[in-house]
Amino acid sequence: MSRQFSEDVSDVGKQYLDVLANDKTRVSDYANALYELGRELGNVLCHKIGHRDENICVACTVEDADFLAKGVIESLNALYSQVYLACFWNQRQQLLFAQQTLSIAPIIRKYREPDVDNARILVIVKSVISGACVVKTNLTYLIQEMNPEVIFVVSPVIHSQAIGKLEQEFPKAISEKFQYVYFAEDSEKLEDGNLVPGIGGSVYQRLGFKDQEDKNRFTPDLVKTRREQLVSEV
Amino acid sequence: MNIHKQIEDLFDLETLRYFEKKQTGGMANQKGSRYEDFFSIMKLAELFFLLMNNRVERDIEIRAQAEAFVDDLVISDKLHSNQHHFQLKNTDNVNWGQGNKTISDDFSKQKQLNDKLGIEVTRTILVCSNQTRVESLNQKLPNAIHEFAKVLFFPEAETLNQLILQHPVFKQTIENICFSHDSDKLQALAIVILGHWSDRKTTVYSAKELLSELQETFPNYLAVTSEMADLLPEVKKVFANIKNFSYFIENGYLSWKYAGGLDSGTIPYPVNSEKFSSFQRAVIAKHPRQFSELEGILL
Repeated sequence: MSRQFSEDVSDVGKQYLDVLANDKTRVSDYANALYELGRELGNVLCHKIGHRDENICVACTVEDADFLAKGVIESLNALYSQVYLACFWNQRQQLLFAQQTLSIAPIIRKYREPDVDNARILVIVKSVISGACVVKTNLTYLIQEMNPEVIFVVSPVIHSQAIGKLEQEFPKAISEKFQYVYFAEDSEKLEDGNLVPGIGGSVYQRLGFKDQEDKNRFTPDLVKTRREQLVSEV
Repeated sequence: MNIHKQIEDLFDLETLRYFEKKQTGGMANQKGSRYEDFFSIMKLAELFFLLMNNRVERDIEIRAQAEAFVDDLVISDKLHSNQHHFQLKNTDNVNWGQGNKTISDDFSKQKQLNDKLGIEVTRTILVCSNQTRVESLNQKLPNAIHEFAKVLFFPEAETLNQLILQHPVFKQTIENICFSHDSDKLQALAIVILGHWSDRKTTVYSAKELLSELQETFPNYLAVTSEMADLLPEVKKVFANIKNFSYFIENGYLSWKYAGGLDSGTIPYPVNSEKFSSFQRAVIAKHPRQFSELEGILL
């Protein structure tokens, strides 16, 4: 096991990382740790973005919406009033061929608030970035719909090779916009793609989802609340 | 008479040795040749488009590292006696050269060999990753090969996603056979083709068989061009009564929108599949009356 902390992590952040890594942590405590880490990451983002009026898009996956992304958005909302949400439901698959195993994560559903397209700053949030397949897919979709000047890739834990893998998926003109905010970098990866200690296994299962299909049938409260408000405004 | 004997008869023993050495080297280099694989995916997608739209009745063979002077990729239409040979170069120092063992000489010998083998139409194509070099090579195309040779640009990319984002021609070619124009589906389809191609590229292969294999695997992300089943009337009725909900079927897949696209998605299997029938049965059984009751079923 090899973990390196980034200079952005606080002692509180380290404690919550330990809560995630501990396989005895209950679902509710695990979810709360993700939320608190989201708030901490959001505070780091506020510091990096600075005190100016900004249009920000926060993009996340369905499993990260109600805790990690919610925490990030709450911290950003303390400084910025225009924070918009994009949420993705990905169907991750490992395709086994004789010569190689390939990963894909197509989007089967997306929630995208109208003002996302006008955001100058894109914040893509993920509970863990290991192979970067999901982040690559969602980011590729977004950059064809909007033209952010800055792209923050934000996660409590990343794999030591994740940044290199992510950047090789994009032309230089896009990857030059990337800035990374993370708390820990792990170099050990299991065959199933989970990092050690990572976030203590698969985020779906730690949050109580049975499997990927169960996760993809779920609609986060964050999406329901924001959607209801937008629909009622029309 | 095998091809080695033909070469010795047509040229000389030294040329035969060169040809044999080229084959050995080609096979050794084949492993991990990303540039060649990505270009082959584009050519396969072009062939799949023709086959899917019944623009060709005949089958076409495609092979990497063929027994040829111009050997990186060979596409053969045997019925029309037509063969295209591609030489791929992702380095900057590409020249036609003069004399033996040059690209120009390989192209010339390939034409002579194909003529001897009775192939009526030969095209030899140099594919290069440097756009400026492509222009220069086109201007300096040697007279001896001018009638059957040309130079094409194809960029070098580290990944298929990067290629889709930076090369509109590649993106358009994948779009032509994909059920959706969304980047995530294009990526997925290109990756699926890469997996199938990597397993078979060094054997002579039928494009039609490769397409059939792909069509029979799930997921494949290919557009469905056969006649489509429509939604069941009961499902249409349920959908029609859900406020702010709309849907459409395109290239064999059902996409939906809620509140003008605030929420949207695509059912990840075609409407003529058994899984889609199960989805329709679930809609009828649960009979959702508003979107919040439908959203968990849209999968």
